Amino acid sequence: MFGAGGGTSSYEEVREVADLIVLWGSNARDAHPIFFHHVLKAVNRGAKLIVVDPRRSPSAQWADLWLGIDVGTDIPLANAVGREIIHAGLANTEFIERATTGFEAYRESVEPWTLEEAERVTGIPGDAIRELAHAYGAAQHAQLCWTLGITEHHNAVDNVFALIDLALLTGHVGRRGSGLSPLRGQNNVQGGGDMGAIPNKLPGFQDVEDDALRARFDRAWGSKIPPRSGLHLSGMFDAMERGELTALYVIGENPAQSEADQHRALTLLRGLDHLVVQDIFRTATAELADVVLPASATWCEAEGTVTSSERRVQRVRKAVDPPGEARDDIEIVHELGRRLGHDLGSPRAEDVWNELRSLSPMHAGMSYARLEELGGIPWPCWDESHAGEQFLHARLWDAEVEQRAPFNAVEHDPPVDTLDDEFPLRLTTGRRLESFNTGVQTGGYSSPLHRDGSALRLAPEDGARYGIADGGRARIVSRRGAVETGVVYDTTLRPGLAFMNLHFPDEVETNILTIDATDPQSGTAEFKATAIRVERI
Amino acid sequence: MRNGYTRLTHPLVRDGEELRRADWDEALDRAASGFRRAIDGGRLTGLFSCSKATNELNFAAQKLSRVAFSSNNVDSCNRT
Repeated sequence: MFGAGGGTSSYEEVREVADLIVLWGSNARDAHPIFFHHVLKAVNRGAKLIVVDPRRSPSAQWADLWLGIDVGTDIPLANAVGREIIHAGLANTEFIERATTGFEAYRESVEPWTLEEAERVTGIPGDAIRELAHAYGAAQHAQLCWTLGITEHHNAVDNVFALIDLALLTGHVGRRGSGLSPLRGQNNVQGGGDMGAIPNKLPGFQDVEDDALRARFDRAWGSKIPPRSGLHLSGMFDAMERGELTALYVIGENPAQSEADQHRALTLLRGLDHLVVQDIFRTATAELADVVLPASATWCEAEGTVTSSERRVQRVRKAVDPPGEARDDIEIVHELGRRLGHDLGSPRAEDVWNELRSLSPMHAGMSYARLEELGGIPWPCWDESHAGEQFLHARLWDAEVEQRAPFNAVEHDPPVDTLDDEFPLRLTTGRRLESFNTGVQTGGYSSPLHRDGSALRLAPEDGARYGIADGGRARIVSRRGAVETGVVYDTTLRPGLAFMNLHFPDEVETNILTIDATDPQSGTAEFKATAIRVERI
Repeated sequence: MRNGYTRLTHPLVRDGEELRRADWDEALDRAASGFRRAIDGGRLTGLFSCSKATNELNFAAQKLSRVAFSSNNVDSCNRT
C-alpha cells in the first residue's frame, strides 16, 4: 500500500505490542497458522482479538468479538465503523491534518452509513459495529489484518481502500505496533510480486511504464522490455478467449483446477496452440500440456530465498537432489531462454540473487551472508549497513510529511452473482488447516483430517428448509454449472450461507460453481460470493 | 480421487492424445519452438509464475518473459 505491495508491520509487533488485532476476512487459524501463533501469543498477554467473517470460523472462535458479516458487505461495515469513529470523537484529527489528504470527501461518503443502515445491509447488529469502532478508535496500537475475504471480490481494491481509510482515520499506521497487514498465502506469494513476476512492475516494485527505470533494466539485460504493462492472469484468459494469446508457460501452478468458472478456464487452456507446464507433479494442467518439464521442490531441492508476509527475506537450502531427471527450475528457465537466443546469465541461485540486488534498491543490502547472519531481513534494506525496516511508513509521523497518504472514499457494490428465487443461497469458499489449494500436494495422502473435505456445509436451518439431512447428498447448482457432493451441517454458518473447501477438485470441482467476475484493478476473481441452490439427491 | 500424485521424474511431450517420455533436449526444443511460433506470428505469450518457488526462480521467470518473449504478460497466483 502507498506504493509498495507489502504489509506494514512485523509479526513481533503483532505478538508483543498491539493491544488490538482485527482479522477482517481472514481465517488465519486455518489459512495462516504461523501468523496465528503470533496472534495467540498476543491474546495470551491480553490483546483483544476481533474477527470479521461470514462464518464463525476457527479464528473467530478465539475472538473477543465476532462480527458475522453478509458476504460482500465489507465496505458498508468499514464505512459505518469510520462514521462511528468520527461521531464518537475518536478520529486522530492531528494525524489526519498533518499526514493525509481527502478527509472531507471521505467524511461525506461515510455519513449515510449509520449503525442502523449498516446493520440492515451487513447483517451485523449495530451494537457490535459500535464495539468494533470504539475498540479500533481507542486502541493504543491496532493491527488490521486481512486476507482473501477482502480481496476475492469483484471490488477487491475498493475493499482494501475502505480498510486503509480506517487506519488513516485513527493513525494506526507507521508506528511501531500499529499497522495494516495483508496476509500473504503459500510460502512466497509476497516474493512473486517483489521479484516483478507481475505485469506492471519490474523487480523491486519499479514501474515498468517508467522510461528511466525500464532503461536501467534494458541496459543490464540487453533487452527491449515493452513500455506498457502486460496482462494479469485474468487478462491473459480474456486474451486467450479472443484468440490473441496462444502460447502459455505455467510454472508450479494448476489453473485447470484453481480458476473461477473452471469450465471456461479448461476450454481456454485446451484451445492454446502451445502450453508448457513445469511442475513437480503431473497436475490436471500438465495433462493438457504440449510439454511437461519436471522441476524441483523448493523447500528441499533448491537453493534460494522466499519472502514472508512481514516482508522478511529468508534463505531456503538444498538438502537433497530432485528425483530422476528432474532439474533445478532456474536452470530450466535459462535453458529455454538460451534456445530462444538469449543468455539469461548464471543459473546459480546466489548469482541470480546478486543480479536482483544490483537492480532492486530495496533488496540491495541483502547478501546471502547477511541473510544467514541476521536470520532473514525485511525489505527495504538499502545497503549492507542497514538492518531492514521492521515497519513501514514512519515518514507519516514526521513533523513535515512530504508525501501525504490519501483517503479513498469508496461506495458499496454488492456481489455480481446476485441472490434470487432460483439461486437463493450464498456460497463462499475457503481453506482448511491441513490442506493446500487444489490439493496437488495435500490430497494424495489419506488422513482423518480430510474428513468431509469435499462436502457442502449448510446451516442446519437451511438443511431443514431444503429437505437435505446432515450426512445426505445434494446437487449444487450455480449459474455456471453443477456438482454433486455430500452435505454436513455446520453450526458456524448463519442461515443463508453455505461453505465449501476448494482442496479436493479431483472429488468435487468447487470452481465449476464460482464466478470469474474480476476486479478491474487487481484482476482477482470473486471466489467468495457465488449464488447457488441445493437439490436433494 | 487420485490416490496421490507421484513425482515427475522425466520430461514429457505430447504425441497426439498422449504425453510420452522425452529427453531434455527434445522437450526444451519443443518448448522453445512453440514460443518462437507465437512470437514470430505476432501472437501473445503468457507466463504464470509460482508462489511456492524461490524469489530467484520468480526473478528468472519474469526475466525470461521480458527478455526472451518481449512480454510483460507475467503474473503470479498472488491474485487468488
